[in-house]
Amino acid sequence: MKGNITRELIYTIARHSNWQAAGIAAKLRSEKIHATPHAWTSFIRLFLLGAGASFTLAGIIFFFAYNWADMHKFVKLGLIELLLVATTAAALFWKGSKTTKNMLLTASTVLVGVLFAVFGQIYQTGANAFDFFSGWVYFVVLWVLVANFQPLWFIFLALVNTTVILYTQQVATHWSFAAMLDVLFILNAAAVVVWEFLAAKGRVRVQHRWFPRVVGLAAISAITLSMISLLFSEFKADFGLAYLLGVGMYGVAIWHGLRTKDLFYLSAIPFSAIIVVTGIILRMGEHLMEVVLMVATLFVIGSITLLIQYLGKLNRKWHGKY
Amino acid sequence: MANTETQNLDALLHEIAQEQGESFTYNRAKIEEEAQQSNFQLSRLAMKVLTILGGLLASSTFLGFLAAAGLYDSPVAIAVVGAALLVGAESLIRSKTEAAADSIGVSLNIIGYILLGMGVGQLTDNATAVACVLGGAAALVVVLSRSAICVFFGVLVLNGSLLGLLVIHKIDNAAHLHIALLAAILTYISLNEARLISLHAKLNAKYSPVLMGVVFSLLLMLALLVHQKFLSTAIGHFWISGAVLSLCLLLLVYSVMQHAGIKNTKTRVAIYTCTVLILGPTIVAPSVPGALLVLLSSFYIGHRPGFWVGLLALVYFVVMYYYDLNMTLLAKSGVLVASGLLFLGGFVLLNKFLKNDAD
Repeated sequence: MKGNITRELIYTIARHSNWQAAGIAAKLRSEKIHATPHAWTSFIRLFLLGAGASFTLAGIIFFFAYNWADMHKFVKLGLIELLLVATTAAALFWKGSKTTKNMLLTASTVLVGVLFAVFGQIYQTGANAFDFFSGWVYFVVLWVLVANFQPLWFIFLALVNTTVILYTQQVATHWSFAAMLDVLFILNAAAVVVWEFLAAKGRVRVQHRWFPRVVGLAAISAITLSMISLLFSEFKADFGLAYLLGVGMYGVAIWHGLRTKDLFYLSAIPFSAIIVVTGIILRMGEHLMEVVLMVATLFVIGSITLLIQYLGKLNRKWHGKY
Repeated sequence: MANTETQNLDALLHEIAQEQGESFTYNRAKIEEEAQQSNFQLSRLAMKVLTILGGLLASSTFLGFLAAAGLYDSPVAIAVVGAALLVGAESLIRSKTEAAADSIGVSLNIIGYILLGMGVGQLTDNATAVACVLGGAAALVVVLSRSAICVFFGVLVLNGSLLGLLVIHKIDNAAHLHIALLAAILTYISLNEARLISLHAKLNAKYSPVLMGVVFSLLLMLALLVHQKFLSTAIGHFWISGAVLSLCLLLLVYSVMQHAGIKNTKTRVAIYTCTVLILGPTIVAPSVPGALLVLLSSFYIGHRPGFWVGLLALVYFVVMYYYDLNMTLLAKSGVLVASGLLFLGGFVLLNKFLKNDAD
């Protein structure tokens, strides 16, 4: 019986009965919906440890920040390099849990960026932001591959995305906005595809679906924005590649969502399609704005309504009915 | 699977009947119907997000239509259409029970507020009138609406209107009264969940959206205290809000100790002392105890969205607290390390206490 009693069920029963408040309160506590004393103890221990470690670390950083200007350049670089070596060595040789070692390696990854930033500040090498981020990516890619740790992969993807954006802004300045978004889509979509493939093989823990969801949202946002921007710019901005990628993504993601019964893809992808079609409607009727805007409004309301109805039916089908 | 769920529901109802005695009466058909719907919407977050985003998208295109059609030339027409849409949204939600009606209703509701505000603003050229009309409309929606999302937006609009009145009339320090009211409501509804949901079916249905609305409204008010330049306010006497929020936190701590069965006087005094020590330095920065109140009250009732929102707000406000401290980097470093060591000391002491208790 435990685990089947949710807050919603308790609310439903309370709504349609004369269940007394004392009984409801006792049930909320016994089903651990309200925090138990054990939960409070764990929470306070974690809070004190987390706050203590964060505040102490912040204090040490502030101390160095205060003395930063007066520090010799070798001391500045030496300190960061010492920290980098210490965290990496601890990740390699310390006999702790795999998660702790991966977190140490994540810290090392961040410290590489800090080291490059300080180096650039001291020596004024004239490197631009693209050089900084691309160097950071090259120097940590091996660690990311070896650790196979999702938060580290997330940070690495953020770095690669930033590198691509800076590349188009500072090096390949002839690239169009749509072309940049297409590359970002390919990058993030590839990461999601690899994750889903590994999940299907049982190589990643599927409880941690935050990774494909956040990265998937980034990919969907990029391609949606690219398709919209193409509507209002020249065809040769990317020769229609965004639409090709977009349609491909819609097909694959919906197929995968239906196959794995994952409502995330079946919600986000149709919403992206609704935005694109709304954009097409507005673009086509540029000279009859009143009519077109009304049509767009009716289209949005109608399509969202149908989508929610469909998702509701799908959920009923997946979870059986009386 | 469906039959197992029926059996589980029967077992739970039987259990409650045994606890409460023969006086326990219930509408089994309604309970089963709603429980089924709830199970079938396991990813309610996806539905709610779709509903809200769809509502916002539809609102923007509809407002564009009204602008293109020249409706904005007539303030009376805008105000009437706005009010009609608010009423129409509620009629639609009441007439149909599918989630789809909710999605259309939310869109109409958002458009209704915007048009009503614009119409009254153009008619009267008086910001106070706009704030009062919108506040009144929002209050009616909160009381009468059957849509959880509309009630949530209603709470936000109502609090936004109250804030607007404070800013318009330059009674900035009344913000402390507003914050105190929100903190008191949040504390009360968090500590009395069971009582409120058992009082009346309508209160039961409105509990969650009102709670979420109050959480967001309180955090927005606290953010305003930190970023006063945003609305050009000059709110002073921060200790007033700080004191009220700290009192609410102490009340929460008292309630937690009651339910945990902590009767030992020494233990209670130790817990209160630690709480006061942590809250003391933040009395003049009420955003920190405010975020802590949201975090702890959400944790108390197991309300995950409130917990995560409170945690993010706490991290942000603590960072802003230290950023705004009028001290050198060296002094801030000392304060941070001292605070950190205090927390770590607390962690060690707690572990020791738990170990002794276990032994």
